[in-house]
Amino acid sequence: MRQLHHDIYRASGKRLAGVGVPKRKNTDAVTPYKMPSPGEVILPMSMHIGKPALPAVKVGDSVCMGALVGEADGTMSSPVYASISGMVTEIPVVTLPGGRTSAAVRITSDGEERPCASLEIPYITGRDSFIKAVEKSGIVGLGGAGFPTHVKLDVEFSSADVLVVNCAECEPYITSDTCTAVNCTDEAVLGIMSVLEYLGIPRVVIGLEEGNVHMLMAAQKIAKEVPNAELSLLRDYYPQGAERVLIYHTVGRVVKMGQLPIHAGVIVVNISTAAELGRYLKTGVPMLTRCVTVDGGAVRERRNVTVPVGTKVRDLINFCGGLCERPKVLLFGGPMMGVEADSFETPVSKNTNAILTLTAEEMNLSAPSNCIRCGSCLAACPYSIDPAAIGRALKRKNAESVSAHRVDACMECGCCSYVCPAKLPLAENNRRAKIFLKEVRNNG
Amino acid sequence: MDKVLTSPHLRCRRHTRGIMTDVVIALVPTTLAGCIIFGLPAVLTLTVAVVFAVAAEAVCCKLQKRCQSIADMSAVVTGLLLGLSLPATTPWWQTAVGSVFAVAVVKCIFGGLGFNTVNPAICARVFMILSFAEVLSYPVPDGADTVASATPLSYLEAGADLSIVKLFFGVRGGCIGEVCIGAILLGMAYLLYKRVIRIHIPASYLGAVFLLSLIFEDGDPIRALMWTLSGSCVLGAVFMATDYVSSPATPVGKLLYGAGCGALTALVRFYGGYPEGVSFAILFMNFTVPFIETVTEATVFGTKRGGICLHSKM
Repeated sequence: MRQLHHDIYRASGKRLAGVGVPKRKNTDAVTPYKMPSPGEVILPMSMHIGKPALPAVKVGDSVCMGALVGEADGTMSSPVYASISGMVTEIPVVTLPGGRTSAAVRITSDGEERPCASLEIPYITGRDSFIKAVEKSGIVGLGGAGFPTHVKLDVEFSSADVLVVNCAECEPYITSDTCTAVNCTDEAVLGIMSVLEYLGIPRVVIGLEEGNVHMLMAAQKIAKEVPNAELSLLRDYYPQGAERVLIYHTVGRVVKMGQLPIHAGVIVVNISTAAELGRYLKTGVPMLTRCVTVDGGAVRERRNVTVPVGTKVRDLINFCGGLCERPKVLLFGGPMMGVEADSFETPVSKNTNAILTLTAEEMNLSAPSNCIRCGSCLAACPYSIDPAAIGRALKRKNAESVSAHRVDACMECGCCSYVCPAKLPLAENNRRAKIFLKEVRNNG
Repeated sequence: MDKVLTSPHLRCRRHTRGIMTDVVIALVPTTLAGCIIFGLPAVLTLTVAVVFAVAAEAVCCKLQKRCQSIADMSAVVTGLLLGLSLPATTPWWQTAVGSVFAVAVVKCIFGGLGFNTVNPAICARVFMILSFAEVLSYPVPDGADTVASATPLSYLEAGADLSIVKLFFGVRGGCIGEVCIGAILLGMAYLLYKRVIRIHIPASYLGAVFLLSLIFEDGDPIRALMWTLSGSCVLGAVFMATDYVSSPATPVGKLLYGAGCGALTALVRFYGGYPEGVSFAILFMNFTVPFIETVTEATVFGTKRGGICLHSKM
């Protein structure tokens, strides 16, 4: 029998709308496989939002694990460290998922996995030294956005009154956050405690979906260790993990358009980011590896793998038994918000939470037809934007109407495209509309 | 170009054809009831209506060089709805003209499904009322102890009472699809269960008709209920007014639209020159949809409109 799940979860007074996507969590709560050091890694200088790092090594340099290879360029940037030991063989320009290009450092392994001798556990005395340490760790938002964590945490002491830990893993397939939460609970506790302590935050809320049993168990363990931690169980639909949706559903605050969570007194940290932070504070080893979900119908063995940052997708997929068929699309991230990579040579970045090799059947694609004005997109949009109206306005090239429908508020979660019975690319339309508005504004 | 360019790379299983098929399934009880009550003429009328609607769609797609869209089932829905809103005795050629008018003139000229401003079946019915006198002369099913060619509405207007039970099971005069209220409500239950429609429009439509009838009938609830259940009011509220293309998408807009349809229906019935006002009411309200949608547009999360932030809980 066909499953009768709700396609649309409508908004109510206290809830934002969303869609019931299939879960497909095939890799749930298994201890992650540890991938042996690959023969070579490619470390893009841009694995975060902001300015790319500047290469700090030359071709021919010998590097150890944890050596600085990319220096942060200003504050809104993040340093890059060698994830394997070996020799720098090239400083190429690589294409990242989504089509951006970036300088990168290619390191060929010497097979020794030599850790750097100079790494030391950070000595933290207060807020300032804490932020410095986070900056040095190279940690960025691991949930997918890649926002430099030290920038996010760089707020006045006690200006935030609540820390929200994002344990809502709402995208289909992905279980890397759950996996990290289950296996690195102590590190996560340490990370959360240090943020609370050094930033003077009195309250912590852990937000997670009620259906995610493994995450719930891990969260309960964390809540036992962290004094006064509250668990906030969210209904099981997408996009509960989106920052502003999460803040609204856990602490009931509205982050106004164009503002950051800190303006509402909230800091949101992903559970994987917290765990990575705790691990760094304990060991002093910067971010060298991360947990990645490898899934999708085309890969032979679906698993969670701990991989060195910069590992090529080809090596990672070979570690998972290789492909059993040609995937329709190779995705970095989830099927709802992930971006497409055009090559198996693309490296795993700091903020890559999943590598998905989706087949056409899984994606359930069909050709677009006329809009029948059913209003599904409007009902499914968490922010109550009307994508159909934006699409019509864009077709007429009416900038005033496009902007009146607040396309700039769109977070591109993809709920509208997901529910559309006419299979129209509504989220893509919104992206085009944003670009169109920018062009119009630039031209006066 | 079969490459997917951008996210999301996952789509749900609902599609236009499925929705239209659900509407057809929801119309099955009504269609069966109509065919049983009115016999062979009803079968003929419905068949002609559907066949000509689909044929018109196919020809229009060909002429307009659009890709063939008969597979989306919307022409079947239009034809079936038009057929159900006609008396069984309608001459077949008139039904055919109406069907072709609905699909070709009301829908396809504007670009096909989704681009029409008014409901094709309703518009075609109004066109037929104005063009052919037969459309307003109703046959009476066998076994109903009623005077020939009188409908419940003419009874009510003459001040007589009717049995609500008879109204519910369709033992009365009227169009093919409007007589059996039970079958229509069964179809509505299916559409609600399948989440094809929401309750807003039917509820506010029938609510408005009931309330206004109550006022006009000096507070007699039984007679107000008879007004609500007779004529094509229920069929219109459930299947015609809920048409996606010609009704508002916002929840508040749906309530307003339904209430407007209901109020106009009652006003035409009590004060207008025609005995029935459903078609005129829905047709008129179709034109107000862009306005209703603009007025009832939701406030985007985290933004302000008119100084009020509806989502603010701080």
